[in-house]
Amino acid sequence: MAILRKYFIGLLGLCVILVLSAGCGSTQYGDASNVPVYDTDFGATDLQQIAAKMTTSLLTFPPIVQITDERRPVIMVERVKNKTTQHIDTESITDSIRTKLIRSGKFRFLDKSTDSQTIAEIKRQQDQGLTQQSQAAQFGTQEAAEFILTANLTEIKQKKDEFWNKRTSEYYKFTMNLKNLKSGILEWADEKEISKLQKNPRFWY
Amino acid sequence: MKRIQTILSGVAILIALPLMILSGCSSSAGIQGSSAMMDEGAGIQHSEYVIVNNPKVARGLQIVDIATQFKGNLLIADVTLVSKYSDTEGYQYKFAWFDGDGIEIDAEGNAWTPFTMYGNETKTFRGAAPNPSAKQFKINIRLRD
Repeated sequence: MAILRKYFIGLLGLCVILVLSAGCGSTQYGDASNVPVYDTDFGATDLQQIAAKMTTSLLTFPPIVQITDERRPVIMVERVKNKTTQHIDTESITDSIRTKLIRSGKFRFLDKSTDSQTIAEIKRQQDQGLTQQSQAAQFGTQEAAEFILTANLTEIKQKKDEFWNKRTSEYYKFTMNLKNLKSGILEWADEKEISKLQKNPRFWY
Repeated sequence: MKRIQTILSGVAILIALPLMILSGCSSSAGIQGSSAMMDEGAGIQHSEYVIVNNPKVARGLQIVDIATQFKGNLLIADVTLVSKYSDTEGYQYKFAWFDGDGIEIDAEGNAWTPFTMYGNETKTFRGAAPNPSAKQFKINIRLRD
């Protein structure tokens, strides 16, 4: 009993700390336009920056402005070549760029990823006998892409161990090209560079 | 008993005061530049203004130029900023686009973009409207989180 009394204040303090730390856990909605950055890995803010830069650059490039003033060219998007060591869903980068370009009203896109579903649906319309044949979609009527959009994502990672800190520097470069399929000419190209730095104290986890 | 109450009050103030000061520091407000290109029949009317919502940001950063133009039929904005500090500071900016009636276009489509301003540096940021219906834009600039 005497021991309990002796350590009462200490135990009480421990209880208060435990209660306070238990109260810290929470789940809440964040802001998708301002996603927090915790490390140097490729993140949502990087994706958003790349999509914004590439869209602005393509839409304001004078020869492209001239072309899109006259017509809405058809573009096909190739998957981004991920040359980083990270597993990145690069399709979401091109999805964001494609969505922004479509919504600008300046371009039209072909979607290769849904070709198998398209073929199945055309076959269904033609073979099942349920669809009016005058309205049924036909094979060989789709428009051809005039341009192809290709991209590369590369990274350079550097690490430095200091006495107090561990420093990591990550450099990303996203390069995008618009190639004319008939002439083979690159009509537009641009790149976005992103640098991320992280400093972690060595003796604190 | 009175003495314990006094001590407890003192401890509470000591804990609460730094928390209040810290929470006061983290403001999401910044400076805002705006420009409108409205076709009023008698030619294109151009207006622009800058609003300071956070004097701390305005002390370190100034919008020195807002240039707007149409490329094709798409509104393009070029905003030039100059750092008034000699030190490096991190900020974020976000464009917002509005149609002729002042309705925001694609409000969720624009994200905060981080950028760094070195001492007394001048930088220009370009934004392209999401579609040809945009006639006005705003740029919001705030300190990086």
